[in-house]
Parts: sequence; C-alpha cells; structure tokens
Amino acid sequence: MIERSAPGLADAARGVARQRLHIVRARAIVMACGAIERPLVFAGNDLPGVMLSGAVGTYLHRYGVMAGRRTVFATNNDAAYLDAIALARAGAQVTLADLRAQAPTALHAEARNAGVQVHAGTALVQAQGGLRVQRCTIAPFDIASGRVTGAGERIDVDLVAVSGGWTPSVHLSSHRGIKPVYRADIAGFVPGGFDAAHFGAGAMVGTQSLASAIAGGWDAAAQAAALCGVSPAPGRLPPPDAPDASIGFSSVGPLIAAGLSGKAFVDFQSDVTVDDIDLAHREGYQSVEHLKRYTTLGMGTDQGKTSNLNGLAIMAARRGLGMDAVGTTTFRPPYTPATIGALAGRSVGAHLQPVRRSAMHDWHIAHGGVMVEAGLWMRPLWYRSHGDTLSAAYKAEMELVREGVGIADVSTLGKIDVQGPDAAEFLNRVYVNGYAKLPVGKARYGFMLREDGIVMDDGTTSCISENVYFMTTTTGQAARVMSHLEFLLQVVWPGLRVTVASVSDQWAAMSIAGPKSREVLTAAFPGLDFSTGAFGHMGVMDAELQGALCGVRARIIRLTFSGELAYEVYAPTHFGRCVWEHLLEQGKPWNLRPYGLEALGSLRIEKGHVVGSEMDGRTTLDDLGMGRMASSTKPFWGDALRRSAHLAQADRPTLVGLEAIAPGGDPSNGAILFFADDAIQGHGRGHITSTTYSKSMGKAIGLGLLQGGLSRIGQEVIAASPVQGRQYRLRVVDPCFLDPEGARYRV
Amino acid sequence: MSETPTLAARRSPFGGTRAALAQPNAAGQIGVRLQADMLGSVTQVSTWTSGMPALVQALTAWLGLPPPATTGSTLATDYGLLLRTGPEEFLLIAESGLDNAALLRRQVAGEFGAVTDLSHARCRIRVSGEKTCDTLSKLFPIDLREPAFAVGQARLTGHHHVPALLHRRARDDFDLYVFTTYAQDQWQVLRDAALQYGVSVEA
Repeated sequence: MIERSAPGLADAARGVARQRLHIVRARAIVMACGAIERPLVFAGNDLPGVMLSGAVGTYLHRYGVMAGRRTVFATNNDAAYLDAIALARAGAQVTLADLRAQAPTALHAEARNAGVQVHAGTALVQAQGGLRVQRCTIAPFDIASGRVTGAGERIDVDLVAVSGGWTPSVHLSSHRGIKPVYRADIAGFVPGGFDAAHFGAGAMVGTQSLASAIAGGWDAAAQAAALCGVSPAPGRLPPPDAPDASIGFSSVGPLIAAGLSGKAFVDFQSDVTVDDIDLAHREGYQSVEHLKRYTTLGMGTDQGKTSNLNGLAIMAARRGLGMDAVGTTTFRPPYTPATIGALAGRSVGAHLQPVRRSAMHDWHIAHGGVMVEAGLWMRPLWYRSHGDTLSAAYKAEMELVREGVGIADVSTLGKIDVQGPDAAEFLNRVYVNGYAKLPVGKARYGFMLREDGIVMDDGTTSCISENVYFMTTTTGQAARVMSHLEFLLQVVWPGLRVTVASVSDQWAAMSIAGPKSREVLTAAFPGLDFSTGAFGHMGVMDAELQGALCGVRARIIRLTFSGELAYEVYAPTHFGRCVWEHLLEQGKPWNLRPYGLEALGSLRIEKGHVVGSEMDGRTTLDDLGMGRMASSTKPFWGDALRRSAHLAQADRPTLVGLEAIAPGGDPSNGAILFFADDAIQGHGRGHITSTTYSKSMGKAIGLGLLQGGLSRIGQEVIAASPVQGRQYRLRVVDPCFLDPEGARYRV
Repeated sequence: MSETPTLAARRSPFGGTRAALAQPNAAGQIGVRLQADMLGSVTQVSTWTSGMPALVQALTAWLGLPPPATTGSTLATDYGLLLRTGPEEFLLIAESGLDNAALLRRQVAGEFGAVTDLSHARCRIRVSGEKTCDTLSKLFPIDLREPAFAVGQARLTGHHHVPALLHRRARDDFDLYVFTTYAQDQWQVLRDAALQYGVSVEA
C-alpha cells in the first residue's frame, strides 16, 4: 500500500516522504475497489466544460461549487440522475438525455419535480464551443441499433456532464494473474475469480446498487473474518437511508451522427480518437494488445481506466465480435502512479551506489580536479589548472610527466596482503610468471588468468619480508582478484598455509613520475637513498619517514606505468593527504604538479601497456603479446585451458599499435578494423581498444586487436565506426610507441 | 606498550560531515545519535586451518585469556576489543594508538599466523538511541533482535555490497566498523536512514 502525505506536508529535509510504502501481510483480503465512471464518446467531447457526471456531483457536494448553470447531462445509467437532480436543486437549468428508451420511473419523476427536463431515447451527439463548451446537440437514438434516428436539437450550455457507465476496477485481482471476464449484463469486465483468502465486493464484482453493494460487502467481510477465526456479528446492516440508483447499463460505443464535425476522443490522456481506432482496424491490428501499442490507447497515466472499455467496444464493433471475444489488455501494477521514492527510497543523489573516496579526494576538488566515476571511486580526470578543456589539460599533464615530474593519485589500485609460509608457492601458482624466487625488497609485474585461460588481471607483487607479500591489482579488478584468491585458498588449495587480506583501504597511493621524480623524492624524504644503485627498478622499501612526516611509515616501490622513471608512494590512509601535500610542497623546485586519469591513460597508451580495455574478458596472454611471460617450467592457474584449441587459433586478433595516416583520420575507440581489400561489413578483423593524441609522437595513436597482429606492422588497415558514420585509414605499428628499450625508466 | 609518535596530522575520512548537529524529525524527536571516529589501532590476526591451535595458544598466552571461541564473539582485553570475525580470523580494535600490530608480531610467528595492520583501513560509526535498530534494519540484512544478536556480539554484514562489521554494545547501542574509503558514504547513508526518526551528530 502507498501512503500519501497531504499536499504540502512532504519535507525531504525532515524525513517526511511524499509517499511511503507499507507492506501488510494479511490473512484474508476483501477487495472492494469500486468502479470508475466512463466518458461518452461523441464529437467535441474534449472541450473544456465537458465533465464526468460524478465530477459535477463531487464539485457540488464536496466543495459547494456549481460547475455550470445551463447544463446537459447525458447518460446510459441511473447514476447521473442523482447528480442532475442535485444540480437542478442548486439552481441550475438542467436537461438530461438518457440513451435508454425508458427512463427509470422513480428517478424520472424525482427529476421532473426538481425541474430537470428528461429526454429518454436521446443521445448527446456533439459539443461545440471555443475555449469552453457553448452549445451541444442531442438527437433521438435507438439503443438497440446504436444509431441516431432523427434530427438533432441544439441547446446552449456552459456545462456538459456525461456518464457512459461504470467500469469495475479489476486491477488488483488482475495483478494476481487472474484474467477478467466480460459480463454482458453490465457491459463490463469483472474479476474471473479470486485467490484463496481473497474476496470481492461491491461494484468491482458487478454489483449495481448501493444496497446490494453493502449486502455483498457484509457477506465478503463475514467470510474473511471467519477465515481469520473471528465470528462475525449476527444480522445485517440496515439498507441505506438515501436515494439509490443502479449503475447498471447496457450500452457502450461511440455516439456518432452523420454530418456532425469534431473529434470524438476515446482516450483523453493519449489523444486517441475514434478515427485512430478505425485506422488501426484498417491497418489490421486486431488484437487488443496490438491496438494498444499502435494507438497508445490506455497508455497514459490512468492506464486506460477511463478509456479502455470504450476503445474495446469500438474495436469489437468494427470486427463484428462481442466484447468477450475481443478481451481486454493486461493490468499491471501499480494501480496509480507511485513515486520511485516510495518503492526504492527517496532521491538521495549518489546514494544510488556507494561512492569511494581516496584520502586526497577533497584536495582534488579544491584544486580544480574534474572528477569522474571509476567504478565506485571518484577520480580526477584532469585539472583545470592545466587548461580550460580536457583536451588541453591532459596534453599539458602528459608533458609534465614526460619532461618534468607529475604526481597522480593511484589509491584506487587494489592492494592485498599475502602472508604465510606457502605465500611464495601460492603466488607462483596464481601468476603466469615465476614468484618463487622473488627476493625481499623486490617487486615483480605479473599476469593472472581465469580458469578458462583468459586474462583476469595484471599487477605487481612485492616481497616485503620473508613470507610477507604486497600485491597490487588494477582498480577495476580489485574485488574480483581478492575473491579469486580466497576461492583458491578455501576450495582449491586449502592445504596451503597462506592468508590474504585486503589492505586497499589501509594505504593511500600516489605515483610520482617523470625524469625529475628522483629529485623530488630525495628532497621530500631525506635520509632515503633513491639512487639506482641503492634502489633500482622494481625495488621496494618500507621506510620510517623523517622530519615533518616523522612517525609515518611509508612503502615506496620503484616501478612505472608511464614509461618514465617513477615511484609509487604508499602512505597510511589517514596520512595520505599529508604526504601528498608534503610531496607537492617539496617538489615545487621541479614544478611538481598533479596529473589526472586521462593523462595517466594516455601515457600508458604511448608505452603500449594494457588495461581493462584490452584485458576485456576475452583476451589471452598471447592476444596481448604477453605469452612469453608465461612460465613453461611450473604449473599455474589457467595454464591448461589457455592451450585449448580455440584459444590457440592463429587468426585470433592480437595487440598492435595504430597511428593516424591522414588529417581527420584519428582513431576512435571501438572502431572495427578491416584489411585494405576487405568489404566493410560484419565483425571485421579486430577493433580499436584505446586511443589518444600523443604529443611525443605528434599524432593520434591507438591500440587495437587485429588478426595477424605484429606480422602486419607497416600495413594499412581501414577503421570503420558505424556509430560515428566514418571510415579512415590507419597504419599498423608496434604497440610500444615510446622508448621500447626502457632507457627512460632505467636511469 | 608504546604509542607510535608522529608529527604528521591524521585527516579524518569523514571530512566536515561529522560536525555536531541536531536534526529532529517532524515530531521534534531525536531517535538516533551518531558519532564518527578514526580508530587508534585495528589489527587483523589470521591463520589457516592447521595454524589455528598454535595461534589460539599464542593469543591465550599474550592475553591471559583464551580468545573468543566462536565467530561473532568478542572479548574485552587490555589491548582493546578482540572480535572473532571468522573461523580463523580475529580483529583487535583499540581506542589508543597502541602499535598492536608490532606487539602481535612478536607473539604470532609467521609459521602459524599472519598479522595485518588495518588501523587506517577501518573507521567507526557509533549509533545509539531508541531508533537504532529501526535505522540499521533499513540497511543491513541481518536479524537485529536480541535473541539472534546479543549484546557483546559482532556480525560481519554489509549493504549495497559494501562490507561492514557491527558490534552490539547495548540494546540500542552499536559500533559500526566501516572501510575507510567508504566511510563518508556510509556516514551519509546512515544519517539519511536515521532522518525519519530524528538524528543528532555528536562531534
């Protein structure tokens, strides 16, 4: 059930919701959902001032408002008589047109006494006016044939009230999967039954008068009470002390008279007219479901509550079928519009999914970092201090790293503590390359595979001390790798004496990269020797920092992602920002400044380093050109299936570099690659995985997966981007665009 | 036992969101009180199946009491609150900056166990007030009724796939240990969940 706050009371700041969802688990349920009054279908029925009879009555009785002074009521049932009589007694001039040949005797007499002019066997066939209804036409009508039988009479009006019968609200029972059934005697659909412990009463089940509705409700309540073990009170409720009117009727269908103009609307919310339904019929849409989708009948916010039956009646008439044969569309919850907040919680912005913040998160924002989602993390994509646009800024940030020194927040890397007497053996089984002899104080880059031989992740693992290792993973695969390691230890190799613990939150991490990075670290961390002799490539040290950072125990690894001399500094998270700011301060003489994710990604493309774009869950070690890393002298996870026939096929696309040949031919991510003489169709020979503009190369470059791989170096290929609608030529080159010997980072 | 001296400033991952404030609900009530803290030290001690007897023996010798025997049990010790978080895993949480990791490494040899410093990896949100259980029930898919979750017990749980460790201090008083990088997010989610009941934040 949805509880609605009274208008104006909802206040998100004070926790008062606009709507609130209640789930009530009842032993028995009585559905008494009532019926909804239907409009009549005639020319001009959407003019302002044409209202449902029940609405006229509600305005009068509930709000003391007389909706019009010169009124025509048009009806095919008794209910409108009560509204017409009430409006006449309030002082309005009222004419009532009853489609039925005989008006109900008692109500007819009461209406006459109230001053209502009653016309039996008469239809309202047209309403006319400008900004609101000004006149209408009523005409003799034969309810048996559904045709107008004589000339019309025009009446000046300021209000037209209509009642085209009552549609039982069968939605709740329909939500339970029970199809409604048509009852010709009330010209409406009623529930085709109820679930166990569910009961129905009132107009919903086709009851046509107040007295019978009360009696039926009493019976249903008694059955429900008995089911709950409660004895109902003896006797019955007395009949109502009020005029009763049957809502029974026997006519549905449009009231169209020849020669009268004006659109006859069936669905006022979706603007579906009789003509639209006729067109659907001519186009061959015979199913009610197709009619609905072709015309949008019943697809407004009321979900066809006022329009469906009229529309179905027209469809049935055109097909020459009965309503029972045509059927009705399926009702689905919710019954009335419900806010997403009621179902899923109110709008709270980023609470949709958790947000992960590094220790330097606030610093990035305060210093012009343009943040971007990276999984659950928020990361600086670029900094406004380096340019007004992403394009300008990331190139400046790349230059910073290539020619000077930059600092990047890499706290998002997954970090795993691996300990135990069998830790080296465990790592040796997990990674494709050897870890058994990794010495203390050294890091090693490695790949791990899934069981099916596909690459899962890459990263480095450092040996901190005997039996203690520090593993890093990619940001995107951090949780998966942790889960993978736990699975292997608990299920596959439970005998190994190893524990793993995620320390991703323990360490803030920052990469200091560039030719001047050694000078910066030497200045920032006095007492530590960063010379190559003391701290070579892939070296690892745990250090007690001095000076302003006295007491902070940091971990420093010399490794590179950008291809430049670079170091990763890991600081305990609560000290992360302190260390970050210290480095920036101490790095000022070398113009140390931050660089963002875009520059980070572009720098690695220049080096041909792979990331998730290439390790996309489909590629093997050989696809990525890393097959030579796999050890042939030890078993490792995924080794067996990576040798399977389909993963060893010679025509699998493998990693290549790509460079633009002509202006306007910059590679774009996802473009499909074709050989020069291929027809440009189908899945091609591979695709582009990563692209950037390389300032070092002075051109746009990219990485891709291409059949034939490195054997096609020097050849031209065609890249086709169906999304962008363009084709261009690229040259295949080595994926390492810059410093293939590694001279820059080995200094 | 010595605390680690440091000149550098620790920075709270909760940022400015933990400033004191009171937000009564529509009825003017405060049903939930929240307090966010960094922790002095958090140390995980773990082992593998064959290492468990030696680890229990070492912890017993160090603490003077056997460690909690079942997952979810806790023990107040001189070094902090010791929680058993798994069949072969314990967490020692201390208010002060005691270097428990260093102390434990002297007790737990690498042959039968592992010590991992998580002092910066976890933060604490203290939740109290008569609507505490109603608030936590919105988030965590565990039974918070006392027969199922007694005072003094701890539960590893989570919401939206973010892990959290709940420790029940009293009927309506819980400590929620959250991952540091999620701390601000969890704090906001919890405050939002408590808003309906009225919430005050204690600095």
